[in-house]
Amino acid sequence: MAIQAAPARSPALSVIAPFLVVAPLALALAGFLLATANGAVFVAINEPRTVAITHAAVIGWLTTAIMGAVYQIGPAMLGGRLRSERLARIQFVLHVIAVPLFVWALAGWRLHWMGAAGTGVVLSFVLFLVNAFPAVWGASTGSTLPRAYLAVALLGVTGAAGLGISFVGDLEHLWFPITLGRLSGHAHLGLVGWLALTVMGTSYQLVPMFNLVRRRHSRLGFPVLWWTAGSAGVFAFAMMTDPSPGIRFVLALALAAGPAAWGLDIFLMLRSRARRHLDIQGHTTLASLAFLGGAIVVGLLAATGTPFTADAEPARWLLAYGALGIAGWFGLTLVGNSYKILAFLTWYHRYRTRAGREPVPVIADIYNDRWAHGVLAVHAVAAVLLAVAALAGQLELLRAGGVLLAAAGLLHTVTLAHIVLASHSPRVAEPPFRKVPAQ
Amino acid sequence: MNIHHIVHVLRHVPDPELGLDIVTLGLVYGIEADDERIHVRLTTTTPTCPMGGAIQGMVERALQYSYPEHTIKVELVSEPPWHPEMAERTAFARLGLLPATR
Repeated sequence: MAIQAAPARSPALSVIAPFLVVAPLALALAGFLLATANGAVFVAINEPRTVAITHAAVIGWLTTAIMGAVYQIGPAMLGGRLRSERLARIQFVLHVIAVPLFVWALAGWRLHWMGAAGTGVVLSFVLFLVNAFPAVWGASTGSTLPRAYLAVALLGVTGAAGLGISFVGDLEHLWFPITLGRLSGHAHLGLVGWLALTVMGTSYQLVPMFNLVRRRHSRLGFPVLWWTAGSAGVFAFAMMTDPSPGIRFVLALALAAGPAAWGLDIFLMLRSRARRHLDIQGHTTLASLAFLGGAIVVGLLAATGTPFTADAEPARWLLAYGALGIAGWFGLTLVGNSYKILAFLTWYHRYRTRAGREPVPVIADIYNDRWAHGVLAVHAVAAVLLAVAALAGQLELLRAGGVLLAAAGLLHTVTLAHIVLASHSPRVAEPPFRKVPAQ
Repeated sequence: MNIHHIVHVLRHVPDPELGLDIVTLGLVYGIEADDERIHVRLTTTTPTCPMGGAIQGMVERALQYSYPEHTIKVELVSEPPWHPEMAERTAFARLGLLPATR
């Protein structure tokens, strides 16, 4: 059976790379906001600083990078086509202007600016969806499982962004009270309906590919997708009614079941790998699974509410849950995948046409593995510190975690920029790196 | 037509992710050649490998460079699916591949 080769439609490096390289700067911003936080972050999850930190991390860092990754994965791996590369460039400019402005408005609770910048963020999402949906949904050659995850995730981000902008309007016009339940509904539609589904779907594509997994076909992939998407929708809708702690716990349990099953599935895939030595993508995947486990445990405990929020700092468990889930699970997955995706893209655009005629570097020559693992280590320690600090209510430890997180973000940006800007050379001078012989 | 020389040429085409040549990895499924044309059937390590088209192009360029007078056809196939045991034994050592019984 012939394979239809897909990546002839890979977008230009100058379209994708800016998303991936600039995104960790928003993590540095989130880290800076954490490093300069006061004790209020332990008291309320909806106080301005925490809301600003969350949005810097989620729509500034994770979403910006995922937008770039989807623009790449859709055409290059799934065989779809972007509506317009120019539109992607315009969307990037809009996004990197609107998001920092929105975070600044949230941090100072500046309502008019929230509305203006929030509208810019939503417009950026609309442009992204218009451009990315054909690349994912119209895909022709790739695996159907990652495609289905990404397509559903695009619906998830639509719902999360729609709810978010309605909250911004509500703050000014007071249409309805924004309760903690409603905030949680919005947050989980974004965290699970968008970020988790994207991470889960791309892992089904990337983990078997990079690790030469023998057990390639997931039995759980589609059931987990429908369960996770369905439970995220039900969770978001039900939380709008501010249910009792008992119902909240059951909803949280149902919501956690999908990612937990996925985590097990990916772990079993990794166990069946043919490559003994894991690279940066494999190490970050394993580390992120550990953080997923932690996030599920802490999240379920946070959902029980009363026993853990009776003291004067009821937001601590939710803060720890956020650190483990956002910085740990999503963040580490993104760190690992970004080095591989950007290295592949750079190789494809810079060396593809030279390979086969002259020596060219391979992927391992394009990114610095030591630096990548350094970023992984700093990032993982930061996420652990933040979670421990939140659980223990230790502000100084939280600030230290923030400093480390900012350092990880800056280091990540520098090392990704190096991939794109540096010239690379083959490390070894043996076949297949010698010049091709003539007849 | 010397098939061994064609194989020798293909040993200069790398899989960019694994860093080994496509022959050592066992990705070349078949070579047919006469005085006018060369037809190579090859696969990728995963069915949805994003580098499939790039490897196909590399093989075409390498063969065209070595055999400029020939018509080159490079076909990507998915059957039988590649598995690590198809690689040469040297690949097991260089990639640190684990045996299938694990």
